[in-house]
Amino acid sequence: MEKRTVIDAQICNLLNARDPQGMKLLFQTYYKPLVSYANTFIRDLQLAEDIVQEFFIALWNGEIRQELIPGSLASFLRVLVRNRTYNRVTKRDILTRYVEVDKIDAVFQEYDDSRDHIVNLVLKEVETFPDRTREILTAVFVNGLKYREVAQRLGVSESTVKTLLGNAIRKLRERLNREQFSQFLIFFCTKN
Amino acid sequence: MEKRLLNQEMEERLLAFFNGELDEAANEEIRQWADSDPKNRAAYDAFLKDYLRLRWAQEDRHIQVTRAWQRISATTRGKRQRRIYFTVAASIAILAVAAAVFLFIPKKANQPLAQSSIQPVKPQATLVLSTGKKIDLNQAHLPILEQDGSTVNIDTLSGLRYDTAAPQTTQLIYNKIIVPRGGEYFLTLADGTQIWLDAESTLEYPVQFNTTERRVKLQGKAYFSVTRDTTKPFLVEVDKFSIRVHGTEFNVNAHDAQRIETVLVNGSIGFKANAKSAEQLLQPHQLAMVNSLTGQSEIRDVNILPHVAWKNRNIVFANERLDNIMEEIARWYDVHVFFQNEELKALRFDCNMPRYSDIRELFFFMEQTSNARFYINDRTVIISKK
Repeated sequence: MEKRTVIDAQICNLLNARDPQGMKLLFQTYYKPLVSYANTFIRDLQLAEDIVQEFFIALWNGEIRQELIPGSLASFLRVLVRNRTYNRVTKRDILTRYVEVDKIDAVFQEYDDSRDHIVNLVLKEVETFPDRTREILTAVFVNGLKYREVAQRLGVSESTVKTLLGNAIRKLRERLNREQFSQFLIFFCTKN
Repeated sequence: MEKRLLNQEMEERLLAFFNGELDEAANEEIRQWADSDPKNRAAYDAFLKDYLRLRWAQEDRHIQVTRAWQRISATTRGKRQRRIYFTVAASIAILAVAAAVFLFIPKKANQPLAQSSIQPVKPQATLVLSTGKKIDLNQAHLPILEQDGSTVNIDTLSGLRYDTAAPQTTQLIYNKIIVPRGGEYFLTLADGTQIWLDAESTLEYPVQFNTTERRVKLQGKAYFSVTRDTTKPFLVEVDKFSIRVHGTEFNVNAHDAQRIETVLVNGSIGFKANAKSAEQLLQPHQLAMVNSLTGQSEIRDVNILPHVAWKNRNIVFANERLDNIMEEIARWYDVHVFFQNEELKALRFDCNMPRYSDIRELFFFMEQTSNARFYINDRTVIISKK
């Protein structure tokens, strides 16, 4: 958390002085998470990447006239990226219609703080899955395909897709939450 | 540890809900279920949190960081160099702008998007028969009989169509179709292969494919939907650059021999940068950028839409440089383009509009979103700073 504050301050200083190093640091720190964040609302990874790239370029070109402030950098970036996704979206994703943005933001902030860790954890677990399950996870989560489309592509029934996906998610949730519990224990023990 | 808050069925339902699989009534049911009991709400929130984290973690490694950084660093690098070079070039630039203003700016300079006679792209082409006879396809409507007995059908809507059930002869005769600037044309070859030819492009092809391969020659840009025939490979040649396919869809933009772009939509194709190069394979949703003069090539994953949208009668640019956009516009609308400021060439735009739009609509849209101004004077477009 503290490390991020230092980096944010550096990014703001460099970018406000139009130093290309600032863009590099911004990219390294924020590109991937912002793409994921944008993709939450549009379910099109390629478009999400385009939106974040355009946003960074606009920021560099001075099209966004606002001094960058370290304390609010993360939320500033998030809000601007979100607005850009809204403008580009043709059909609104279920998450934007039924889930409050605040809730997504809260989960996202937590995710962003330990992204490397969560990604490694999840991918390691996913590696133990059968090929078919892995294909389904990628098709639904990364390519944003419908169950029907996935079933057609893989030549299985829709209910198979549903069940395999359900099983995979159950296992991954268990893995995530087991981890959280042990982290909590470590935190608890070191504190006392 | 964690108490099971959801049974398997409810978990699958929530998963389907977040994946957008349910209909409106079912969505509403989920909402009511979550609102009806704080315990349900807690379970719902916990599930949402895990769902999002898993989705993000899954897609993380699919994000193409290298490509993204290439694009962004190109912008930051560009800016730095321009600043140094700007002071040196300033005096020359003023001179050039002054000359340009004098030469080109129309009298009513405050009406940048004045009436114009510039027409959007439309089907037009010249057909060269095997005898060398030229036929204006906008004038001709009757079927033509070729030397080998094949019929060529001309239709104003569906373009040119070669007889698939033609007499089998061993004679290999060629036809050529020439599409001018401001034109486009669609044709179906004797093997059923469909080809969309863009403005300022030429295609030469046999009237009947009666040898062991199907070989066509292209200049400019075309979209191919090749009929599958594993016994007769289909070859597209652009000077020394060549593509070998069996059955597939792809787009070739060969307006610039040093930057031949091939985008594969589906199937698989192999290409040779030039006669001396080894064949390389291209996967769907990949772009091969080839310099056929040096034989250098580069393959990367792309969003294919901007490359193939023209064939579906759309103009799509995704974060494209203005000079590249104007190069296409010049061909489609048959205009000349003049940049008063070099730096305007590096502006980038997104665009998605019908191909047959008025050119002024496009410029209006670009003026609204940048500091560029577009003047039309006869067949010349002058781009200046606001």
